[in-house]
Amino acid sequence: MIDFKKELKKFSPMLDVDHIEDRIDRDDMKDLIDIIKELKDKKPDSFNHEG
Amino acid sequence: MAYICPYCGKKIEDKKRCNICNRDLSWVKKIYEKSIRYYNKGYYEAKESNLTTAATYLNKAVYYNKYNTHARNLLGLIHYEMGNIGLALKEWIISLSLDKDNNLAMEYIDRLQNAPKTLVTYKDSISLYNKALVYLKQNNNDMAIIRLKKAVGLNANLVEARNLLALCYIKEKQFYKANEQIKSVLSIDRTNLKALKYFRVLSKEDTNTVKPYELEYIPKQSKGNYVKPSRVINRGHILAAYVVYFIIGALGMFVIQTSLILPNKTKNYETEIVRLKDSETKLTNLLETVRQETKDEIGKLEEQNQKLLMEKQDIELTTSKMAQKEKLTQAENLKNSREWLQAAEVLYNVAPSLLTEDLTVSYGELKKEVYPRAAKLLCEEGYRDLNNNELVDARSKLEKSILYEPASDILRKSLYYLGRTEKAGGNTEKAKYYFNTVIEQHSGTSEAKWAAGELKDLQ
Repeated sequence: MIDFKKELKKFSPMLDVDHIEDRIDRDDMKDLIDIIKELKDKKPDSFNHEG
Repeated sequence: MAYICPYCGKKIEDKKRCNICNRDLSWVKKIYEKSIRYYNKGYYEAKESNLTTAATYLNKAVYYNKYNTHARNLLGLIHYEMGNIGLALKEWIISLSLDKDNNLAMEYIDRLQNAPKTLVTYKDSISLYNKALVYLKQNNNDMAIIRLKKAVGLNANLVEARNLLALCYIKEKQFYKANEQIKSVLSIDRTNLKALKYFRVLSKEDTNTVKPYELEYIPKQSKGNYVKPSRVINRGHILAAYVVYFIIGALGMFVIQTSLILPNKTKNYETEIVRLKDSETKLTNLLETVRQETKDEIGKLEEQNQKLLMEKQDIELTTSKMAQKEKLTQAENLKNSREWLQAAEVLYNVAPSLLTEDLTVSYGELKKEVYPRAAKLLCEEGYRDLNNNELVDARSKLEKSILYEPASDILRKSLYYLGRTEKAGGNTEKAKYYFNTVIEQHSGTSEAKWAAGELKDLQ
């Protein structure tokens, strides 16, 4: 049988329609390319693809 | 879909090298291709109504390339299909902010904005779902069910609300109702993980019979079979025909009642009785477990209490031993400063049984040195007090003198002076006792002779 309390923890509040723009943060606009680029900026030698 | 150079941020034509900043983009190309592969997978899953799986692929697609607007727009559509309008709008807004040219997201947002009533309905359904979650966290299942029923009434595709409603029904053992919700969810999203889990749970239960406590439920399919009553009333028929129809109807109802409804009700009640008996057995077992646990707990506490008592006794014993040692040190110091009476007083209060072997030896030596001197001093002072007629002080000092194990001469003197003290105080019997003791235990001494004289006087 299902453990109700444990199962309930899997449900979370839904995003409200109001002020959605305010709920969009920087991470929502980030992709793998951005992450790699950030790392390249930090360590230019080890990630230098330009040779 | 736009391809953007990560170095200069401009749109690019040739994906291997940026035609603006001329930098190598072969590594970017590989990532873009992966994003496209995930988008394709997501697209095919979405076509098969496997929405959860599709959303997983599409999230990966936008993780690899945030400019993959096709993937992001489809992800928004999937959220929309699952009733989660907030997440859908979020994805479309992000999509539009990243690529404003010819983007379908604009059309989706426009369509929603042009249907304000629908938007409000969706918004209310989400608000009801969120309130239901709060109620459930407060253990208010009934209020939560009311909110969730309203939420799915307003937004039939709100799968998360249906899942939660199903969970509530499972908790209430209303398996028929739970099954209805799960069937609805799976018809929208075939790979919904929660629904699939609840479906597995429900497959072990009887979901075909409506339990007596589920009776307020109106099955979905009956809603469509509503028959509009005829407005035509034929007043030309004979009243007798109505009576006959009524009797036939009543008989029919009776037959249905006895042959169909009653056995079904009886069966339901029997099932209910079995369920209640099961609950009773479970409760009895639980009670027994709690009782046993409490008993064990009491046993443990008693054991701990006993241990603590023993520890307390040990501590007290150690403290007493330390006190005896301290007394010996004090007596030693008093002896060194030749304060014999105080030293004897302290020594008299030492408990020899609490001394270690070494200290017992020291105690014995101290006594040998201090007691005779103190006894002699007390005897002399007692005698002085007797002569000054200070009888209380005399008695106290002479009695103490005897306690300090004096030498024989001091002992007989103390006893004789005590006899005289009691005689002077009018305590004839006590006086006789002391005189007799001197006569019996110290015969042949001057004190024995004097005691005999005193005794004669008393008689």
